[in-house]
Amino acid sequence: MNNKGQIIITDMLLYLIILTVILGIIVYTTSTLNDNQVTRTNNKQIKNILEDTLSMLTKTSGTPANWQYLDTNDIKIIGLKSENSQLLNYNKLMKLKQNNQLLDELIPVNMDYSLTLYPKNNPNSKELIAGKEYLTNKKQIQSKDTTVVLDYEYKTTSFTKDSNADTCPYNHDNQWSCKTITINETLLNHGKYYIVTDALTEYVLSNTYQDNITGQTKNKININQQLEQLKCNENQTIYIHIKTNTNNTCLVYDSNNREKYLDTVIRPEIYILNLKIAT
Amino acid sequence: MKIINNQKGYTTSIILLLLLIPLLLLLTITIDEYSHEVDNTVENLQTKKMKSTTQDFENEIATITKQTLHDTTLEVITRKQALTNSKKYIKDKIQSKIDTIEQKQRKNNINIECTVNEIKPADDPFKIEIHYTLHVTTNNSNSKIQKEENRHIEITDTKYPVYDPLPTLKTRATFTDSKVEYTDKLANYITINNSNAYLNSTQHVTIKKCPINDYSQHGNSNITIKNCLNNHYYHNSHDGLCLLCRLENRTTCEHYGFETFILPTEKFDKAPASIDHVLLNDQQGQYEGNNITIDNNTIIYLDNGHKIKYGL
Repeated sequence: MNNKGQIIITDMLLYLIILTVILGIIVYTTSTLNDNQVTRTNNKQIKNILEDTLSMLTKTSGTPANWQYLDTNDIKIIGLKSENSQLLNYNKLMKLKQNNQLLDELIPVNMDYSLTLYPKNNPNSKELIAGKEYLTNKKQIQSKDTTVVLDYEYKTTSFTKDSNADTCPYNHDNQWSCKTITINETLLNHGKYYIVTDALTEYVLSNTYQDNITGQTKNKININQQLEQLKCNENQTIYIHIKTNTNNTCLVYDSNNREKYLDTVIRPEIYILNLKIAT
Repeated sequence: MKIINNQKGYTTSIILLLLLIPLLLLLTITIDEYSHEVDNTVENLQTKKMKSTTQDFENEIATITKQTLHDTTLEVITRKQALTNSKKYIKDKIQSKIDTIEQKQRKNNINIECTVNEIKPADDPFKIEIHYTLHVTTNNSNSKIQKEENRHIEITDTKYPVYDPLPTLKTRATFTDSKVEYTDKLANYITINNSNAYLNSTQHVTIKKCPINDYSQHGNSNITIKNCLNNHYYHNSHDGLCLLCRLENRTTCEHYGFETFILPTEKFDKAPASIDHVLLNDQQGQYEGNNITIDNNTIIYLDNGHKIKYGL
């Protein structure tokens, strides 16, 4: 600029070059920022969907809560938690495995997913519950694990020694633990009763007529036949008397024919439920 | 440089201004972006915290109810003074305990407002129904939880034993160590013949549900009925009083209630029936039953209706 306030051409050029460079930087920064924002928003959106879906699956029981027994048309929303515990319901997992569309509804159409389950101590034994086994040719994949314990829908009654417990008809001393159950034809036909333990356990089964049957087991034993013998009334009250040194003894009623998982009643197995979402 | 060192300065100021505005805008956008992300994370954490606190709080309501029923029955038995409105008394007590927990939660920035709307007997006499409204908010988030719940709480939890107040309220007998020693008080209270059958009788008053669901099986063997008598179990009964009516020292109750046996000490051919709501009834409600010998040391008196009910 000269003394009269006029811009000299070289100064003007310098201004323009600097202005162009600065404007270029600004435009570039804005564009990068926008790209980052879009990527971050996408990531965040996927992360939210991943977390919300996994949280909904593991922390809710679904609507209706007994959806595992219903027709898929009657199911409003799924959740894998058992109704009365924090465990993951095995029947719900199997229902979902056979009806993947139940989870498809919760994941956006443009995203692929994979829900797998595997024992914590054996990650190679993965079982695909829903979605695609391999998520290939995708820009982004996000994954989240959660630790779960499965509920096989056994009805269990624990035999723990309690000095304040009521006396049993045989007036057993505190070496024994005695429980009362009611059995009927329907219960015996639709399921199996087991005594499950991890140490030598003596047991006596008795009815209200003073008939009794004795036995012992170190692991598990099906007592349906013995209960059948003691059943004299339609709804027969049965006393189960247990003498053992371990606190890990349970009476288990299994209405799903799942004998192979009975050990988990005493030693629950920890599983990892993994959900992957890809875009 | 001339850009900075010009003599008038106005061109440079304009250019600098032009350069500064977009820079400032960019800075604002970046700060806003990060602040929004932080806000979102805070909101998520608050919502999670609120949900888990609400769940814990609801679990605590069950425990509070059990504890209150334990305390109230013990208090009524010890003072030998009936409640005029047991539902309101228990409701207010539970509400006051809930208010204390609410105050504690406020320190954690979680505002819980729980109103106990009603306490009433459930269809199962061994449970009490509680109806409450819950409104949960946090100071740092817009999320809220609002719900109305009806829950059935068991009165037979051994951790919080609930005592039957009727024997002490009706006869003024002494309660010690979960049982009532009647001395001559029950015999004096009974107005029909052979009331002396109950001289010095004792009744355990912890409410325990009989594990035999089909009551007619009590009579299948002496050992079975004796086990029920030894454990002082309570049984469902249309004529028996529910817990809330027992606390009010009533004689009749419109709800489905429960009954238990009171063991006599003297042997007669006939004596007042050994059922609590018969013996502790008013004059018109008492009736006699026939002697049923369980073993050398145990007898009870039952009318035909109760004989059939218990298969004796």
